[in-house]
Amino acid sequence: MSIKIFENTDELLKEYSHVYLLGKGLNLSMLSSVAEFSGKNMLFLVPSDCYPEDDVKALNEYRMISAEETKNILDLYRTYEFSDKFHFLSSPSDQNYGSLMNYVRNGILTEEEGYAAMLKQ
Amino acid sequence: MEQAKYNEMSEKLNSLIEDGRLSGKRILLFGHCNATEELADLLMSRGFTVEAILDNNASKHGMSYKDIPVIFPAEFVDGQTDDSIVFIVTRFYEAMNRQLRELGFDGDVIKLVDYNTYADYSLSDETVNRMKTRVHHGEELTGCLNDMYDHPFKVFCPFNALGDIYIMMSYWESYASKRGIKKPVFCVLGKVLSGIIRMFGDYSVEVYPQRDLDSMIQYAIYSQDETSFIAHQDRPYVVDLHKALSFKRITLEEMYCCGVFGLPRDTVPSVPAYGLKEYDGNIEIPKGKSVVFSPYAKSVTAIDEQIWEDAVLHYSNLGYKCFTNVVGDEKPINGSEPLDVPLAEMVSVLEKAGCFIGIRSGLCDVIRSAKCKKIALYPDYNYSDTKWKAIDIYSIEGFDNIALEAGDTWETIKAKIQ
Repeated sequence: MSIKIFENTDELLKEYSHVYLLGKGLNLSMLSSVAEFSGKNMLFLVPSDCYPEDDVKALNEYRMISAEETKNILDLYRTYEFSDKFHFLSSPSDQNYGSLMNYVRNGILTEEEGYAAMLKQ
Repeated sequence: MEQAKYNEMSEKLNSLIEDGRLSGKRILLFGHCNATEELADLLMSRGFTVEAILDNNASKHGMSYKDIPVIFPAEFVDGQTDDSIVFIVTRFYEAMNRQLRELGFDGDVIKLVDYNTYADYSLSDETVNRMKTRVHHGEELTGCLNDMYDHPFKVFCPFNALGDIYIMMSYWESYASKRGIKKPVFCVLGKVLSGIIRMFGDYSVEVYPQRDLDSMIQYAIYSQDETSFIAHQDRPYVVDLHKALSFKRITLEEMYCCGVFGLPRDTVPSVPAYGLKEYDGNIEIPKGKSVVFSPYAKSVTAIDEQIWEDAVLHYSNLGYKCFTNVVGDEKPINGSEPLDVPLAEMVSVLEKAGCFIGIRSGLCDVIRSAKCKKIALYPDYNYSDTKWKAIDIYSIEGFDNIALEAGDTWETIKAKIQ
């Protein structure tokens, strides 16, 4: 992990009320639609190897990051909870713990509610 | 609060008192919960005055605990804070501390119990290196477990709560079947939890201290190990299921069935068919003419003693023998006999007694399958920081689920029982 990433992360957490790192398999149009109405000062970190920039332009504030930066910051997130303002959004069916998307898959939440819940603090 | 956590809180407080850190200070507590009330009691028993309990939940405002008012943090920080000290005994220390700092408070904010080893809101080199070492420790412990059981599927249970473990286990069989998991090893925090797991089958269970288990869980997160599963609806920080409660009422069972395990809503929960035992104690329990009361819960606000005493008097006058389920040095309700039986025998005891009346705690889950009259009493509090009442989340099929309101007496409660 480079020092640069830590410094940037710290700065981003001061600048934005919430920072979201996007994982694979998200419905970006749903995410941007929900984000638009949340009214928060939020930043999305978008891995360039997961999503083309054209697909994320609907997000109000985003920053494309490289695969290496993604790995570094994900490693950090998986090492400890360094902030409650940093969140990793993903839609896996195979992760080794529970997920909001399980509620969507099982009809407890609508997809829109699931995405809104992801951004809820 | 668990005894070990209480001891930790008490020892840290003693040390601060000896160092003179409380002298002349206004004392405030942050986060109104059962643990905070225990801390308030402890402080008052040492002769200190608690000025206020800070809480962000608007529904708690106007409430008080033993004349200590519950107020918003901003109300306190707007006042004189230079001579104040704030104690926190919840797992949200990091977020609460940050909130106070952002409000401008620069006095002492002291964590008296370490409920959450996962969080440290710092990106300093020291913190990052310490947390990396913790992950490495978890890797070593996981390696030992893998060696001991020849690389089993590992199920981590991060929280010491009977009810969570019981409900988790009632959906485990369906999950294991879906994933083809044959021989899991459950990793838990105490022998009592181990007993709950073994009610459901002849499973391997390992008991770890909190810090070790947390390290192993952190390693499972870090490594994304596909042969590990973290079986809790709310912990650790990567689990986001609680956020759904802003939109929908979701019962604890649905949290485990659908949220944690990803099973369909109509999945039928298992009942413990393996480890339940017949009561073989010496206490005579008149069949169908006894009531077992359970007034104690470690994480729920207590119900007024008078209500329990009046209930015991009521049933005694009707010719019932009354018992209080006690553990360790807990006292029986006046007019009742103490009953201290292993959890695996409790269903048998209740089926003999005929009636159970308890505060809604994990014990109510453990006795779900007992064929008898079962009444769960729910103190008036909100589930976590949600708009839902405890009864909305915890109500149990097959019980009379009774929500208590301010001013309730045994007479008013009795009128609500079917």
